[in-house]
Amino acid sequence: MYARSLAGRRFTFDFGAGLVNNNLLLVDRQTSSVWSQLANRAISGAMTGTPLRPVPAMQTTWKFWRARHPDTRVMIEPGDASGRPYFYHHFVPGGPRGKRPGAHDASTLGLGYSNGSWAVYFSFTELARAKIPVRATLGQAHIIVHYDKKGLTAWATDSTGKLLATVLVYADSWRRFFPKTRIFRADVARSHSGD
Amino acid sequence: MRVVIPLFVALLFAGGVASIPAKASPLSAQKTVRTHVQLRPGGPVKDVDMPVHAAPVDPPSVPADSVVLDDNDLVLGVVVGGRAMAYPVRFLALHEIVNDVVAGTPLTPTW
Repeated sequence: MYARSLAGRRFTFDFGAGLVNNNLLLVDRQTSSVWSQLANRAISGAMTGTPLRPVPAMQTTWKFWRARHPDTRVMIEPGDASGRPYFYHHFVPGGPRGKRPGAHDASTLGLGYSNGSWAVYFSFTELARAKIPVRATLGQAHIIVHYDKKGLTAWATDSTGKLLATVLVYADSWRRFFPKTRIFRADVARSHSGD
Repeated sequence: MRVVIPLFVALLFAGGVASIPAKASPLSAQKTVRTHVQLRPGGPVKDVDMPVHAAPVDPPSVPADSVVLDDNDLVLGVVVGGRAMAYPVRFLALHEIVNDVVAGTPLTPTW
C-alpha cells in the first residue's frame, strides 16, 4: 500500500507488464517515471530518486478485518454489484496448493519489516511457536509483532501502538528484496541474520 | 510480491524492442516506457521497453453488509482518517494495483 501524494503532487500509477525478480514496477501517468517496489523509489524518468511512501496496512481474512472494523467499506470490481468477478482467484488458506497457477497457500507466509537500517522476517510458522506478541529490538528501534492464525495475518506496531508499514510475503521473495535480512526464530533469544 | 510470469520474463530477455502483440483484453498495454531492470539479483541491468497496463482509478466500494465475500477471502485493509477500507485480494489480483482515495488520502494498494 503506497501513498499517491509524493513530492508535493498526486500521482496515478499504472503497472509495468511482467515481473522481474518479483519486483513490481509502477509507472505514473503524470511523468511516465518508473517506480520500483524493490528499490522503494523512482528509478527512471523525471521523478528518479523520489522515494515511495509505504502506508501501514494489514492483510487479513475478510472475517478478521470485518470483526475489527465493522464499519469498513469494501472495494468491489467495477460493474459487478454482486461482488463476484468473472475471473476469480481462489486462495486456499492452510490447505493444499491449488491446481490453478498462482494459487497461494496463505498459511506459509511471513511478516517482513524493514526500516532502512534493518530488515527482519517473521514467518507464520515461527510466530505460531512464539509467545505473542513478540517484542523485537532492531538497533535502537523496538517493534511489537502480533499474529493471528485464523485471521491469516500478522502485523507490527511501534512501542506507542502505531501500526507500522509491513508486508506479508513468502520467505524467498523477502530474501530477494533483502538478502541480509534477519530471520526470527522462536526458540532462540535473539534473531540471527542471513541463512 | 508475486510469482514471475515466465512469458513476460522471456520477452524481456529477448533484448532490443520487445514486440508484444496487441490483445483485446482489459489488460492490453496502452503504452511502453523505456526503463532499466535487473533481471536477477546481482545480475546485469538491462534497458527495456516495458509495456504499461492501465490500472483502475477510483474503484467503487460498498458497505460491508453489501459485499459477497467468504470469511476466508483475503483482504488488504487500511484505516486512514478514521475510515476503514478493505481491498479484496481477488479483485486486486486482477489489476495488480488500483488508485483510490480514502478519507481524502490518495492510496495505491498493491498485490
